[in-house]
Amino acid sequence: MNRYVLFNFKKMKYILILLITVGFGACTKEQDASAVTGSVTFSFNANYGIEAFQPVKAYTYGSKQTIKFSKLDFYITGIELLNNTGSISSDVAALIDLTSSNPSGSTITIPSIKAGSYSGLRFMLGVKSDLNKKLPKDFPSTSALANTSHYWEAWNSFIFSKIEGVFDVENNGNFDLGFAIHTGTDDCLQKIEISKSFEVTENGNIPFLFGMDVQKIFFDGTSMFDFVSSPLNHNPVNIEVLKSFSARMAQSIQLKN
Amino acid sequence: MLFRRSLAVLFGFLIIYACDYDPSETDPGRLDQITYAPISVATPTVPAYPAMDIPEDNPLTEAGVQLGRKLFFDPILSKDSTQACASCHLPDKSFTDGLATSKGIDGLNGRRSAMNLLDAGFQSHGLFWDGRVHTLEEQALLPPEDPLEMHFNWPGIVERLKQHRDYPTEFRKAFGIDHRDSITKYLTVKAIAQFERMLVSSGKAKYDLALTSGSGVFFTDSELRGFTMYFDKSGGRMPDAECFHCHNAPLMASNDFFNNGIQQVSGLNDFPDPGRGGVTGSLLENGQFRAPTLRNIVLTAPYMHDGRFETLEDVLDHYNSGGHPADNKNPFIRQLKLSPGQKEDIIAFLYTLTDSSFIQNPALKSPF
Repeated sequence: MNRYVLFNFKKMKYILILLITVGFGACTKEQDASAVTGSVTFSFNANYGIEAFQPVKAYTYGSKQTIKFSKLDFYITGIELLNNTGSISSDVAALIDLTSSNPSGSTITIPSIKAGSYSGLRFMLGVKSDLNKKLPKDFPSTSALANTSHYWEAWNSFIFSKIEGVFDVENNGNFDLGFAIHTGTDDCLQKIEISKSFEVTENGNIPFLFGMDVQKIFFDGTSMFDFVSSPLNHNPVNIEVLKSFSARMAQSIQLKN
Repeated sequence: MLFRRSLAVLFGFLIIYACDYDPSETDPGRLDQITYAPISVATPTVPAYPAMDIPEDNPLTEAGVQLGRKLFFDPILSKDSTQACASCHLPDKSFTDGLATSKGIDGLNGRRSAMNLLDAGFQSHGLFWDGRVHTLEEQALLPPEDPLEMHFNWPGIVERLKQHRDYPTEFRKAFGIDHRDSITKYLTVKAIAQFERMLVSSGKAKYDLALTSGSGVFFTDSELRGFTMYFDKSGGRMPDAECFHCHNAPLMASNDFFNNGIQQVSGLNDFPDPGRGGVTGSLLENGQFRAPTLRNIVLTAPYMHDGRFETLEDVLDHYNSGGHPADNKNPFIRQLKLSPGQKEDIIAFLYTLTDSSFIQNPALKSPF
């Protein structure tokens, strides 16, 4: 009986050693690098010159006019994170709404970014060409691109951005001139590229805070845009005007952190 | 001795009987003897429309749709059993009621006009005029308990349904419940939502056919002019009526909320009905309302959330005037300078959005 117990003890000792060895092996085994991911978050806010941007707040426009905004939104697509081997693309498309009562309307989180070192990022202000060939019905309802309110058949294009509000032409307290700028078509697509080194770590999040100076969108270098002459700008016949708005909108976005 | 033996035999019988007795067999609430074999219904589709979202926990089934249809037309949901959903959503009027604001069981006026339910299942950005709920299931929970509508309560409704001669069987067939006590308000609204998801455009409105090559259907000259102004397709040759900004194809509706200038106010806090702002608490959104579908618009008078305009001519006159100013008025509500003839053209085009096949579909009418 005792010999039997001793024999089994010896056998168990070998099994134990084997298990410990396997256990160490498992612990030291290199993890699949592609499975190690973190995330990146883009947040947007806006100012109007030196003032914080708020919907329906009155801002001085030029020297003697006043403007209030009721809508300011734009699409972000084609997000890429740049690294030394090229870039990692995300298929996240977002409609950033800086006038929304929902704070999440101005934030995008891009999940499952491979951990590692990055040197910058790139994205499109607007709907990139391959997506813009599609229709809202081609996207699942959860997609920002399923929004029929941001598609215009006359353009065969998504509406990349909407800026709307009212204007006090005489600066007499009567905001009786409505204005709108809606951009769209590939002509208005703008690329934004930022150089910045950052490290994505496992389950970590890298926040990027972007600021938009709304006032800059209307300043062409010499004067503010004349809304009195052209309050509604959304028609393909205005494409040159819309292209310049799109370019200035891209220039008005700066990384703040 | 004999007495003892008799007692033992009796006791034995009792034990045998007790072992064989299943109290549920005599339970009148049991439903599990009824076959539950749900038959799926294909998700409704309309060419050019986005896909309809069907909640994972409420797939469409034949029995579910039929139960929902019955509940929709049954006044059992109201306190005094006089009003059904269909009392304010009549099929012949594209599921509206022809009133400025609907009347509830107590004769009180509701706050807003009954909405057109055509294509309600495709709405993915909030229901009601103010978008305060997100699904048809959530929507259906509210009118039965609204004092201005059915003025009842869900426990009372559920009790009626449990005691009803037919409904427990129909809930069994729709949802597989084993006992009538398993009927809940959530199953009730799921059924109603299933029926409402069937309220889809037939795709046979003149507008749809005229845009379908080979259909042999064409706009008249007036309708075509109206179509061109509605969608601003003239390249500047005709006025832009600005309609499509808020009533965009294919649904002729929008995901957004708008102040269309119908209310004269001195400030954003002065709207008698805050609309979307009452839901979000955002000053910017006070006085904003959903832009409902214009499909079947000729059947859904009077117009606007409060039914203030009786005719389409009144509506066109409003938009042509530019409406009342406000800080959040949509900028496309401006003086359009449409001539009387151009207004007639736009109304002629709006008539092409009439979907007669939809309102005549017998599957969408009362089963009673």
